[in-house]
Amino acid sequence: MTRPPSECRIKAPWESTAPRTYSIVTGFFPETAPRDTWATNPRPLLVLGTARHPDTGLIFCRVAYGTTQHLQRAHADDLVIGNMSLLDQLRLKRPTRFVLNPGRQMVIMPWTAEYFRPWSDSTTPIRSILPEDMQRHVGATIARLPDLPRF
Amino acid sequence: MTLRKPVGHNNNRPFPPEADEDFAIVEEQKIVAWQQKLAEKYGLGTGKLVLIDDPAAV
Repeated sequence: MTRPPSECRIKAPWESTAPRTYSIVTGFFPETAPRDTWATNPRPLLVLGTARHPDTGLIFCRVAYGTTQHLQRAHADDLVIGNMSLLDQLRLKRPTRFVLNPGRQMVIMPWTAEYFRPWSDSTTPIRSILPEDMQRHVGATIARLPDLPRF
Repeated sequence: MTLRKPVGHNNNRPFPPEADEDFAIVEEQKIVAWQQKLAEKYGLGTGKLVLIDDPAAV
């Protein structure tokens, strides 16, 4: 019997361990029309929840995407990281805005190499984790957003 | 004079070339369409997944 390709592929070592909530990771996000293509370069994403499928063990992550554009026009709930010292700590080079509001702009994706990919200086998509004070701030924000995608 | 690698803002750790990219804003309608595809493919939103950590569930 032939197994479907999804069962045959070799898993990356990092796929079996869920990233911690509030981790900054690198992965793909849907890009522009007309084709429903992937970006060629994984972008920064902020993990805002994790879950596991009870049968397959597959891990899923709710992520907010990061953009380097329109930092000055961010929603008050968005997380904007522009401080150079903090960027270094979080292993990001460019000032980045993570889009938190509206919550419906977040996506739940499987924690697999199809959706997440390390940058070339790393063996894992996980780059860093937010400092605790920022974790509390972001946690309070998403706890009151009514339109998050649900696991 | 020596050529220098691109380094972090306040340290000597180099950034990879991917870190220099301009990451565009994504249209909301594309995100919604993609959510629906993923939900259909993996059965998301049905309550079957077991939470590991969800700050939105408190």
